[in-house]
Amino acid sequence: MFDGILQGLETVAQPMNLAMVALGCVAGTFIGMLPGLGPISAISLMIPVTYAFDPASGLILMAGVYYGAVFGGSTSSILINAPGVASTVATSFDGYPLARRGEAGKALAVAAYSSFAGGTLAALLLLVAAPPLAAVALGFRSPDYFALTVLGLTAVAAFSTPGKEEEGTRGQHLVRALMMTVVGLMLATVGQDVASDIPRFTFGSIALLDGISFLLVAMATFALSEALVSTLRRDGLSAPATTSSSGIGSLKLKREEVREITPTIVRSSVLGFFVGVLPGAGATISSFLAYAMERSLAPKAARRLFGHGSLRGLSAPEAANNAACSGSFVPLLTLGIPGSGTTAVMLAAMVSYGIRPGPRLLVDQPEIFWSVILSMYLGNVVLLLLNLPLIPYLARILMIPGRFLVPLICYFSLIGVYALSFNTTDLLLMIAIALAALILRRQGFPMPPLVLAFVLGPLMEENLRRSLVLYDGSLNFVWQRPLTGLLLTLAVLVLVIPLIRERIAR
Amino acid sequence: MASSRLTAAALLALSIGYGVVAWNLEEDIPSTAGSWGPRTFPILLAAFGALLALLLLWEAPRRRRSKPTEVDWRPAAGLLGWMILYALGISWIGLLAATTLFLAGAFFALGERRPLVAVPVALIVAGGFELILSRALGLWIDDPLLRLLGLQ
Repeated sequence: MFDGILQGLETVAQPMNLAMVALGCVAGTFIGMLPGLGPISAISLMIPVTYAFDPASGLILMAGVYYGAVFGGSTSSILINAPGVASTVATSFDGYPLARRGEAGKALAVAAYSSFAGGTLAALLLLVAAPPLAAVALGFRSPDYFALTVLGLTAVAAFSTPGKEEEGTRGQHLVRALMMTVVGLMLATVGQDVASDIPRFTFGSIALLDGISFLLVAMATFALSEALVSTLRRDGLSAPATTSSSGIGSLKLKREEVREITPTIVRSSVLGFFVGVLPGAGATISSFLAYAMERSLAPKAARRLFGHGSLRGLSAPEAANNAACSGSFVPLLTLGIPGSGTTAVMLAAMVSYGIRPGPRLLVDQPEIFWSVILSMYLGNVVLLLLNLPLIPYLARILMIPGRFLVPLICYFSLIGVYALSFNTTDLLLMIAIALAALILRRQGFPMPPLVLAFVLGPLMEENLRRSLVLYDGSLNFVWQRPLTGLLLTLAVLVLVIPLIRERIAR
Repeated sequence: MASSRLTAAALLALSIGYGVVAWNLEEDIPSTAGSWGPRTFPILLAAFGALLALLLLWEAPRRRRSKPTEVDWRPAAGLLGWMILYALGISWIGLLAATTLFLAGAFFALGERRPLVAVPVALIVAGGFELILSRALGLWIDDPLLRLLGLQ
């Protein structure tokens, strides 16, 4: 392990890769601040850029972009109550009230320090937990992988939160989330079947023989559809609401404020890391869970401040969502299963480089494995050092009126896809999917299950096919393999327990 | 409520249509391959999707919904229109011209009424991206207009 860490350090310490970390953090912060563009969009936009570099540098760049984008999403969440990323919604609960009363500087500083601490603690946990998890992962077989994909998809469906305008029972939300999962799996079957080479759902189009590109689906369902949604908001196209006339205030924290938020940050980081490890849970779930946990643990007087500018209420989701980013790398690097939508994009990028994450990655390519993990340490440091002074200037970008910003976001999305394939069909397909996503989102259908299903679909089908071949066409693997049975049972429980809890509460 | 039912019906139609196409897929697999073929997984998905869509249709009238706010679809429709024109036109008139027209048109569709602002901004962004893509990233995108002007 120490040899591997040294190898990783040597890779990360190269001037080129240090520059990648810095560039990724700054670019990610900038992109993440833009409404409608989050880590998924930021990394997707970076993928064509990374083809010019070697795989380790490309992955380091994307990891930096990931952290930067999450932090950038927090900035717009605090300044203008427009969360740039789903995992920063909870940040706006207390961040925006702080900004409204002229303490935006303090809010941004707390977010930065909490993110730094959360990401660093989680990177340490990753250093310790990743190799043992990799050793466990070597025992995984096709039935276990199939069950793991089922667990991932059911978990993300169960934890998807509905849109604001949608009320209803958890069961109703679950049906919509599962429907989106099925639609994502359907989209994943377009193209040539891997085993038989027979074209499926191509309707004679050569452009669809290779299937639909992941970048296209991700940009259509997130960036483009979000841009279209913002045009429907009454104030979506005018200048953003300005903060207090006293500006953003000081970035400094008092000693007692640091003492107040330190235990919150530690608890939320640990929670965020382990929730982030679970496939499907990710940074959004962890940020809400951390907020709820800190609110319930806070003394009565402090609890009243939650939702009105509480520093605990701000630091908890920030620490948790950054820690979850590191946690989500555990299933990706050790099992080859993306733990979130963003790591799903990174998995697609890794596969395009010829890298196959999984139990063999630590053995066959330790320099890639450890350099990605170690780049997270560096990424956290760079975020704090580079971005804290830049925040007041970066924040001015958000002052661009929506009528200019929205077309620019659309353009970035379109040109990103066009630059990969030079295919008009892809652009039209992307626009059609974005329109469908807009209509579905307005009806309360969540998009993350669709995107994750699109990535996991081929893996799921392939492992189910292999499992059936291994067991002569029968489903005996479900009860003959304890791990498979356990994972499938967990998948059922993840779906059923929230429903039972809601019924009991009623 | 009506829109919920319409969406559920559309999803049901999608699942059924998907299933019909999957059923008619040609299979040319050896007998030793077992019962799993290229249509097996799609047919399972179609069945599950249809079931979920029927559940959605059934629960649509029961779903509580907060009062919908009034929405002006014109900016979104205008933006979509310009995106479609961009997609259709980029291979004909090239990146620079298509981007300039798209951005200027989209700014106008979303409420910008100063052509002296919209057009220069569109030109600067289009030109900047052309430089970034071709010079910085080394991506060559064929541009008939630039070729005509002898700049490519």
